[in-house]
Amino acid sequence: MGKETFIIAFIDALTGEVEERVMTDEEYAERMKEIQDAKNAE
Amino acid sequence: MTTKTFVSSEVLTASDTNTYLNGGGLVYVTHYNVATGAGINSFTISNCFSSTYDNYRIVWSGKMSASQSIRMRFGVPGTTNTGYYSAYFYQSGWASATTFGTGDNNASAFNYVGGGDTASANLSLDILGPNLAQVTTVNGLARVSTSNQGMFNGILNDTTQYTALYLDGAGNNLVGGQIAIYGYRKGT
Repeated sequence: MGKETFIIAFIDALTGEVEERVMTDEEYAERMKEIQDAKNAE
Repeated sequence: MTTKTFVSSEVLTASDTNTYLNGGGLVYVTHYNVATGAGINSFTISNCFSSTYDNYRIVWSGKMSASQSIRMRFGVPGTTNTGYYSAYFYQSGWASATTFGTGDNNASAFNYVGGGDTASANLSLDILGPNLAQVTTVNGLARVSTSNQGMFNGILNDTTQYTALYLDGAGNNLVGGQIAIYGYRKGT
């Protein structure tokens, strides 16, 4: 994979929490997997 | 719904508050202030859909980092299900009144829900039934590049009860402005 960077925001409408991160594509894929795993575990 | 004109120094009672203020039709759910400068490549709003409302409205006025459309999916990022079908009718090029058509056919996202260019960009959509166990419908007015603007209607052909929304700039960024989501209040 390359080293493209993304500026990503995660907003939780319930708590108002906002997370903004600059990620490489590897970090982005990893974060997406974490979110998906957490969702699957619900 | 009836309306009431309040006069100066009038006592605002609980009954009036419940009837006239809490009885509004469009109710704020959440917002996100999009960063200026480089902007944001993608974002996810979790817990924005629930059983409180059946139908929602999302609006935004900002800019894109390039002449580009906005993509929309339901669910957390990384959700790659297909089933997105849409029709997008648009006028193109500012050179003719002729309209054109395109759309999504069992795609993994809605690809024509909004956008614009470095001068201005918008999002203006109704989202119908995202948290209901039925097909989710999205419709609205969409500009997807500098000179392509038209009407969008799409369905996500599954019965998943979604709680989250994902948007991105299809490889470019959304810049500035405030994205706001509202729910259409249901009668009792």
